[in-house]
Amino acid sequence: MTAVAAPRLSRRLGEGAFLAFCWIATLVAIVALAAILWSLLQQGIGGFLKPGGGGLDPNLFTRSTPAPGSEGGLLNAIVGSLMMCVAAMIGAVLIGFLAGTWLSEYARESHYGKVIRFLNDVLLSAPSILVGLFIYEILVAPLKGFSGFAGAVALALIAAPVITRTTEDVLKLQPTALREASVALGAPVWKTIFDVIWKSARGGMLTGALLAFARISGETAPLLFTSLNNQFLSFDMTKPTANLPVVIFNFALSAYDDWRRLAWAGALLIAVTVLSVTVVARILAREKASA
Amino acid sequence: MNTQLEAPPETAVLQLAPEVVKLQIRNLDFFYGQKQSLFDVTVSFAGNAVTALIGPSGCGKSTLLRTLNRMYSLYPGQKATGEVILDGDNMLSPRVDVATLRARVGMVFQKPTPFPMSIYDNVAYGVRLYEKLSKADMNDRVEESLRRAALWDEVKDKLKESGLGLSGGQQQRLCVARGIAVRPEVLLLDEPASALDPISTARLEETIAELKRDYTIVIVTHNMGQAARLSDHTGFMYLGQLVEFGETEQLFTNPVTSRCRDYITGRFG
Amino acid sequence: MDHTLKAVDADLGGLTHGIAAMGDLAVSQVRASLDAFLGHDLDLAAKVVRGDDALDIQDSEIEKAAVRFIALRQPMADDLRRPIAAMKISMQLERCGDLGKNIAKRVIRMDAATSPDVAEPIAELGRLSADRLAAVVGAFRNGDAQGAYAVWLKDTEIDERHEQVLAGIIASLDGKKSAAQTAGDWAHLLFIAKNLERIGDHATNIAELVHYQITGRELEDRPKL
Repeated sequence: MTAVAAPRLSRRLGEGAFLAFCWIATLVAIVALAAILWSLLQQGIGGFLKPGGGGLDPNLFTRSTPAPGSEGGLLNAIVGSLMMCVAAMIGAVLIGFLAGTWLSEYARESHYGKVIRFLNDVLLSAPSILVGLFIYEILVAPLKGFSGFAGAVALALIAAPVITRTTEDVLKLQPTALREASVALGAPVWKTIFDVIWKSARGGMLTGALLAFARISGETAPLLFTSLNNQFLSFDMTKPTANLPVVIFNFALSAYDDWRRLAWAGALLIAVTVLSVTVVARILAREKASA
Repeated sequence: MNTQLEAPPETAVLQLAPEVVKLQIRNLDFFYGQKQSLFDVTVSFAGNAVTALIGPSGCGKSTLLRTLNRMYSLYPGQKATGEVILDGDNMLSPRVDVATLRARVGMVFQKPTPFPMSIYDNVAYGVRLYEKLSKADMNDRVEESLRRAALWDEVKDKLKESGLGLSGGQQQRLCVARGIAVRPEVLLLDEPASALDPISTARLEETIAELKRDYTIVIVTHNMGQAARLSDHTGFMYLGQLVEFGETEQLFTNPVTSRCRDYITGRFG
Repeated sequence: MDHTLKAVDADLGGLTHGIAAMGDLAVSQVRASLDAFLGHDLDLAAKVVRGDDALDIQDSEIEKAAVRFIALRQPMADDLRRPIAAMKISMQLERCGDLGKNIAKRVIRMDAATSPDVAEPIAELGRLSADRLAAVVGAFRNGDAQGAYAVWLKDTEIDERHEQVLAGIIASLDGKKSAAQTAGDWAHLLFIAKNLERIGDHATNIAELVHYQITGRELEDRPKL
């Protein structure tokens, strides 16, 4: 019976080895993630607290980035980031939803549609620094000035392909019969899409938008070339605009302890934001699945 | 009397008396791109009657149904030539507005397709496309449609709830209600009971039998018992051809063509 | 062509086989009753009487099988005609058996053998009916609508022959040519002739059923004398 037992043994060994490898790989990833989270939490929470101890530091949310040695917070960066992200999302959602809808509902497998889909996928995986450089070339350099708008455009350019792709994917998941049912009642295609298909796919579309938001809220590279930074609180997006990623980038590399403390606090802030947005996106996606 | 068994005809299509005909198909060819899937179909459907289309998968029965409301025009590359005549007008003519056609020819699909909105809005959706009704009139229309689809008693207390929360059989009757709310003349049913359990199927069949009084109904079904129970006329299709069309009773007791006989008796190749 | 579901073919084959076997038995019962009559063979007559039970049992089995087939296989078209025709044919065959049994009972009750000059025309009528019955059973077995039609067309022959036999018996009664027969025997002879004529009728009925089963068409306007 060895003829039968031998391959079984080797098969079992093979499976065991493979399983062990999977475990090790998973462990490495988890350990790395835990280490990042650990240092982020340790240092970041420290950043949230008053330097001398004694509770949360209110300056973090009420004051702008300080000169070295003086007291300050991240207010200008938080406001700037929010403004740019919201502006970027407005543009990206508009473009992404419509482009995704066009790809799914109108272009389908047409030649033009395939080209657009391919280009969108290229854009989806383009290095964000290239996007920054591109906006610098077409917006910042000709207009001779960094601005919050340029930053928002760069972020929108990163978010739009994500939303386009997810929108197309969730729309394609909607049953054909649902479209036909509405069309069969005499509804025009555009009305069918807005009233029935989008409604049916809204969970997935929103999830895609939230994931895109999470993606752009931590982007540094494109902002370095576009919005740059601003020492002061400003609501004028035609001027250079402060933002968390660039502040973190600048402060983390500095020699000043209080700047580095603020950088960690900013990093934690972004991480928490991204985490909560992702959780909300997951919940939305799950609700969609159970509906 | 000659009882010599003559070779049965290849095709046998009953011509209905002109006065009972509501919907007529003449020399219909259909193409999916280069591939032809209907071949010179000529047949009439009687008004206030149920006509069943049967045949193996891919025989063209659903395609035929989808030409009747020009559903195929959603898809580039699909093309129908010939005539579909509803009360004397050729519905395939480009002059006929497709939305107007679909208001006259409603359709219910294989899988229940409630829209992601309330039961009330599901029914009102189609009506709003064509008519501006007052709130009270719309309420009446919704109730009337749901009653006719034999669903009213089950949903009257939860009209504001989502249509997605109903059972499969209820969803399908909701789709019927939605279809008849726009007051079509013809109702197309594409295997409407294939996803339903026997009790839901029986309810739906009873609903269809009731609706026959006011509508011309064409139903595509794989279930021959259903075709036999429900329909007045039956057409058997095979490989894109209408092989046999006749009175349901005759077709199921004594089909003329051997292809039809082989199919309904389960002798198919 | 065979059914996709093989069990349907098996069921239909079983029905056909059952009817054909019952038909053979009915034919042999009728022939045996004729032999008993011709030879005034009381033992054979008693055997025919006993043998009729088998036909009754077969009739009820065929009915059960037909009902089962309709319920379980939900047949359509010609498949549906098969169990319907089977039930009706088996009923007709059962009647033929009853008539044969009735003839046998009369043979037992008759006082004496019938003189050949009277018996022979009756037996001739009987053979004609039995042949018709056998022919129609054969047509059924072979799915031969044309053969069934041929039997159906010749229905009047038996009627004619029966009329002749009746006339012959009445003439014999008038002329007292065969003094050997008692009055009761003459009555029995009339009924035997009538029974044989009715067996021919049943053969014609079966011919109609066989034709219907195969073609789906009724044979109308049965030839009348």
